Amino acid sequence: MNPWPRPYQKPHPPCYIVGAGSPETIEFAAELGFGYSSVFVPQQVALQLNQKLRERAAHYGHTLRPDQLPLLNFVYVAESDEQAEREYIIHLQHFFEDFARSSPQWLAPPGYLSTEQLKIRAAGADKMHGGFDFKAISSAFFIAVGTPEKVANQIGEWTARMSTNHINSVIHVADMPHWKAVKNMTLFAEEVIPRLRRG
Amino acid sequence: MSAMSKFTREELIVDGVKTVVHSAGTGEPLVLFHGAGTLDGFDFAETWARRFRVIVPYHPGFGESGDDPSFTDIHDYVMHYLELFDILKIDTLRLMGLSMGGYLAARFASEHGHRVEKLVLIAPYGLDVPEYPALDIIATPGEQVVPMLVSNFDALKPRLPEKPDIDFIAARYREATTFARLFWEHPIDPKFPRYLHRVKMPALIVWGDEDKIIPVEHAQAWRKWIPNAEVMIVKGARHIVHRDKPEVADAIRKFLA
Repeated sequence: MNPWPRPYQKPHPPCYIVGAGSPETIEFAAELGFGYSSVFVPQQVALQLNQKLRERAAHYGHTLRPDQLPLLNFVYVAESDEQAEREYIIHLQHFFEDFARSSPQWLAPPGYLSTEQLKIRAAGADKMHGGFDFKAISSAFFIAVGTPEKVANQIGEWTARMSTNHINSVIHVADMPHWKAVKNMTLFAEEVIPRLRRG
Repeated sequence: MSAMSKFTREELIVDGVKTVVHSAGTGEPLVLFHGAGTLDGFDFAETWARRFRVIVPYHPGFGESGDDPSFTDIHDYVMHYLELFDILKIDTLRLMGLSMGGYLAARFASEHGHRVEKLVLIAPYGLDVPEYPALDIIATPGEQVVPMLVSNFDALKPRLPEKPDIDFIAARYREATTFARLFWEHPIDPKFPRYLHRVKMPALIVWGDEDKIIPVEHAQAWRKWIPNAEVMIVKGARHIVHRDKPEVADAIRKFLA
């Protein structure tokens, strides 16, 4: 790589490593003092990863800022909780049952995992699939669905729990049509973000 | 290697990399470079041990040898084998390569031709033949690749686990990772053929006419770049030619003699 012009920031712009929890990736980010943005994982896993990353970064003499550990979440905002669920769940279900399912050569292309991690993940494969249950899934993962008030409160709670101030919200999921994505984005921008800014 | 194998196993450190070498027989050295997967084993090579000192090293990142993630180019393997041959006190040799190992053998022969007395390439990888592309094995699920390797699947079955076996899958994944380091970003080196004319020793190119991994049409492409090469097309064989048609070993022995 020969980036030109050179980045303005010294020593470099903010960098994030995206990971799915492999200890090797965490070690890599920690050693360089980079941020770590985990892919969509259960809340419990995300908490452990952040904890681990802070420990390992400290080991290398880095103190991670809150913004270096973004919170990745799914959101859907509507006029009422019931309407939000009615409009959203069908797409979320499609995501879990079909979109998140893949064959091994795409999930773990050669070199993406150590062989140790490959064995661990193969043993736990397919646990995400089958028996879609919105209540269970939305409490296990960071998924906020409802009125602006409810979504803002939920994200606020999560950022406090994860000690972060960097929110990465996924607005569109699976086969959601254009109008819902636009509606969701608009309500998120106009109703949720101001609430989060107020704290 | 089965318990009945004539091969003896030797573990060496080559420039810091654990390198396992199996060898059998006495006489002039015949070195076999295996392909990108080692699930098939090397028992077929025993037949040549009656006449030669057959040497089958595991490449770094494959089979019983150790890993070296800094190997990112086929030339790193050429250098590895220069080191190994020094350790084994091999000066001149007969060299045979299967698939990816064929590419490596052809590389070695084009750079160190004075050391290679005869060269056998079995369905070698390495040329770009746009009308007959090689299978994209990185994008093809392993369970689909394996049955494509041979026309007589029963011949390969004893080498495969009966049901999904995580250690077997992990071993293949590790070898695919090593392969990907070499060939994912740059599957083909366009400069490779321009040096192939330096392969002046007697050369034999063996191909199964039903090869599903690298189509048999590649044989003529190789012949074009190595004009004095003999081409042997084996009817009814796929990529692992000798597994489908074990009698090919006799024809190869005659060529090597």
